[in-house]
Amino acid sequence: MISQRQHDHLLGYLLLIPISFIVLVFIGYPFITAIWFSFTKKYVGSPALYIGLKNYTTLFRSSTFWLVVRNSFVYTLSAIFFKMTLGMLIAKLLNRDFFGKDVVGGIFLISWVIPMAISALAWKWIFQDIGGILNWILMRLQLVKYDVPFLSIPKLALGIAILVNVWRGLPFFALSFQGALKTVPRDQYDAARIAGASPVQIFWYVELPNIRNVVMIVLMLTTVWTFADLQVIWILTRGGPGNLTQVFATYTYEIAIGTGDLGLGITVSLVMFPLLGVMILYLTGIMSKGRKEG
Amino acid sequence: MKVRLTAFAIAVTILFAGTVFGIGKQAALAKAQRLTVLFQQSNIPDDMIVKEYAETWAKEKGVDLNFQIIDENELRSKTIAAIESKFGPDLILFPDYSAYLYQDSLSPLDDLVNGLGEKYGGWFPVCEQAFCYDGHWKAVPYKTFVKPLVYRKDLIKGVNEAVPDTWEDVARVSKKITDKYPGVYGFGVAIGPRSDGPNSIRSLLWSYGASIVDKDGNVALDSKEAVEAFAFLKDWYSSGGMAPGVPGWDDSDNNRAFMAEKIAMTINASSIYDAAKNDFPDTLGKVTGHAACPKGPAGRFGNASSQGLGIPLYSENKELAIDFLRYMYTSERLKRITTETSGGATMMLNDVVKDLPIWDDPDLRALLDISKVSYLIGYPGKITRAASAVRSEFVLVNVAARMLIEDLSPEETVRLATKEVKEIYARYK
Repeated sequence: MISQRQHDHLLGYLLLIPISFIVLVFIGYPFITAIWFSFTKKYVGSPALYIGLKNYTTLFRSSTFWLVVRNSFVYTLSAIFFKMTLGMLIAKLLNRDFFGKDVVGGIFLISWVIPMAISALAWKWIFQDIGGILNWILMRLQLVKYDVPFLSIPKLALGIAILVNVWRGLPFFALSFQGALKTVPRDQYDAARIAGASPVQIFWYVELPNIRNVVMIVLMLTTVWTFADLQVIWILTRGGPGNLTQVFATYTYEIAIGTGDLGLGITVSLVMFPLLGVMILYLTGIMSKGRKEG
Repeated sequence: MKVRLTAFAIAVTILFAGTVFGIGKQAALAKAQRLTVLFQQSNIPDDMIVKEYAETWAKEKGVDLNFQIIDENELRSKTIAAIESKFGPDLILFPDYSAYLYQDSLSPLDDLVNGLGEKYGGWFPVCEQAFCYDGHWKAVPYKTFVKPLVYRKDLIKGVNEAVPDTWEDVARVSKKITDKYPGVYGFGVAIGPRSDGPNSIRSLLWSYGASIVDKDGNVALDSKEAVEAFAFLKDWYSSGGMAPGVPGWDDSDNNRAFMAEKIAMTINASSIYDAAKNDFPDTLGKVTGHAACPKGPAGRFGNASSQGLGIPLYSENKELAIDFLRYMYTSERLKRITTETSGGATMMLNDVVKDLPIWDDPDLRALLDISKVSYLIGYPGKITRAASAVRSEFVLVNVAARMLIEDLSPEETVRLATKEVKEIYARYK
């Protein structure tokens, strides 16, 4: 006869079986297979032949690959910086009382609600050289004489992609931070003000330590999402002009789907994992440390 | 607790039974007469005509037909998924070089293809390179569509010029048009990672006597002729005759620009011409024309974009698929496709297309003429995986775009391109 406690444990494990099965079959198995394929010459429809680290050495010797690494880091880190900074500012603004605050908050959510592909297409229309809205405005205001090819100017093309990513992801940051800021104890604010702390000092010494875990989680999620982003770049520039906005996701697609070289294409995407893994471990460590100190 | 465990056990049993029943139903359906066709969405109506043929055939034969028309990117992904999983459509449209990439997974169709060739005066020369590997046909050639020079008759006349015949003529005329007509650029075509760009750059290189590889398949891009071709492109772009945004254009931008009357010339399949004739018959339709793709010092070279229909080895309905293909590949049905698409989907059987009335229109005749001087990726060598990788990784357009926007010299551009091409060819040695 098993005890109630043992029954509860058994039921818990049994209830985990379906989701474990789904995770193992639809995520675990493909992931392990992908790792295997990265060590093989694997073309579509052909059996995988073991070649050791050749895919990795091919990649590391490719000039295009290092351009992809650079672009991916610039894209991800820049987008995260702007989302964090602007998200925090907007969160603090939304925590104040002002007329029309609810309407502003609702309008602000629009970018998050609209499907990413539609957003990217709309932004592309804005920045197109021929028929683009921005060029139309600039020419009407006589600020330019000819159409400006925004998406053909290398640094600008990547900058526009970052802008679109930030515009899309900002509500997630702002709302997460807004909720977290509401949990900061009022007495800590009062104590800080009595002690003569400036707004910046209040933010740094009172608010940030209290919302650290939320910040870390948001940072972790958005880094993974942004690093693996395909839609924005694919729709705006498809990695052009001249590979100058090519990132991991688009490069993987080009090789795996375009050339049918699954081994090499998968290798491109797997190279991201150690980088992301290190970051996740680091951030998880910070969060654990924060919980222990709390 | 006992109740909770019992409820869980019942739930799992129902789920299991449902799954088994579902799998059984699928298996039963698969055994019935059923044909699944995966076809690429087209800018011209050939996809709908083929679908109509399939539906008529299926009704006559009592076959359960599933005819899917999807865009090129989705077609590629679904084809890969089907071939890798050995489960999926029975008949698939393979654009460009994709039949070559998956040839080991496709059924040989020698009897069908050779029979059709004998019956209808032979296939276009490019068919064998595109769809026959080691003596076996792995797809039935379907259509070829070439990319002529699409031009505004009125604007060219307005600068007192004849229809340009060479690349230099196009550059000169485009500059004159840009100078004369405010808000209009003389020429525009995507020099970015899309389909149009690689086709145009390859055509330009070939017509200057340059090529990515020689006839033996060795990398031969590092040549005086390639430098001349890129130098010409750079001068043209700098002269202002070309829309400045072309390095960032996608495949639809030149269509949009032409229809918005923002460019006077482009290189494009017949979709622009068809749209102008059908949607603006009294304005743009009257002044839009086709001419042969421009000629260079080494001659006139176009890109032979071709598509074929292949049957994967996993298909259990191969005979059904072949029966449909025999139904579709009759002179009358193929002529209709070519005619109703105004030559935009030219069937590749000589006797089927040679005397069609549409060729009396010189704008459409240009399409047939170009198809005779059009070549595939890998020319003057064969299609190879490396050639397809150079194409799908957009090596030529990427270096061309960087030359234009970063002001690289043509020599440096050729060096960069050669380095990348050699890396890719070494990868697939």
